Amino acid sequence: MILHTLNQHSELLVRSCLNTIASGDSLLLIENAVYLGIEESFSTSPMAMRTDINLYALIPDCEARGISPLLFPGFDLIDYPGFVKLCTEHKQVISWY
Amino acid sequence: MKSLCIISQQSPYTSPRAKEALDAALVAATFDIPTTLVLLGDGVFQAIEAQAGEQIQQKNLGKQLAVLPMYDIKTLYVSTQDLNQRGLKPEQLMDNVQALPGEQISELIRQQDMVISL
Repeated sequence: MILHTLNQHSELLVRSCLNTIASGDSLLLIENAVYLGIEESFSTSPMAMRTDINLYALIPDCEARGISPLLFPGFDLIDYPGFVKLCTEHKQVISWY
Repeated sequence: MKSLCIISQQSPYTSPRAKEALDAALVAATFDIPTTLVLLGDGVFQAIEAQAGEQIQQKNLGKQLAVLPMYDIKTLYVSTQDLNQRGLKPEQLMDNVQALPGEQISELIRQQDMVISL
């Protein structure tokens, strides 16, 4: 199982990441990538098609940008200790940036 | 006095660019230059109301934008299309922000004497 972290608000980056992501993998949005989780735009994103992956978003980055109330409800929200835990639970971590 | 339009195109907390656009607007307004601030592209993310930059050890840009009316920059303008493309609605933005369709933003920019794009 792989943890993929995405840190930019970029549809192209999402597409490259999704090409590599396998069923059961996890995708964590951090930094500017949290904007991709805004429900209205998420619903039309290729991410929304992948119901076979786990979606996470980092709380401090969502809060800082004021988008916590706007996120697609399918995201599990995690804090910094949760981020560390995810890293230890997955065999590999890939950063997309 | 010539009028100035500042266009800010980058999201907050990414790089210093959003903050620098705001600083430029504040400096211009301090010198009584009629100043218009326009947020385009990912710049519209600067206008989201409930920001909390302190969560990632940064100054809260939203709070700083909210004081612009005190410097006679009454309104910030954002493009409706840029909002829509990012899944945002005007009611999710700060009070001093007005959403206009791209054509009206373009007209607004054409009315100014000088433009700085950051």
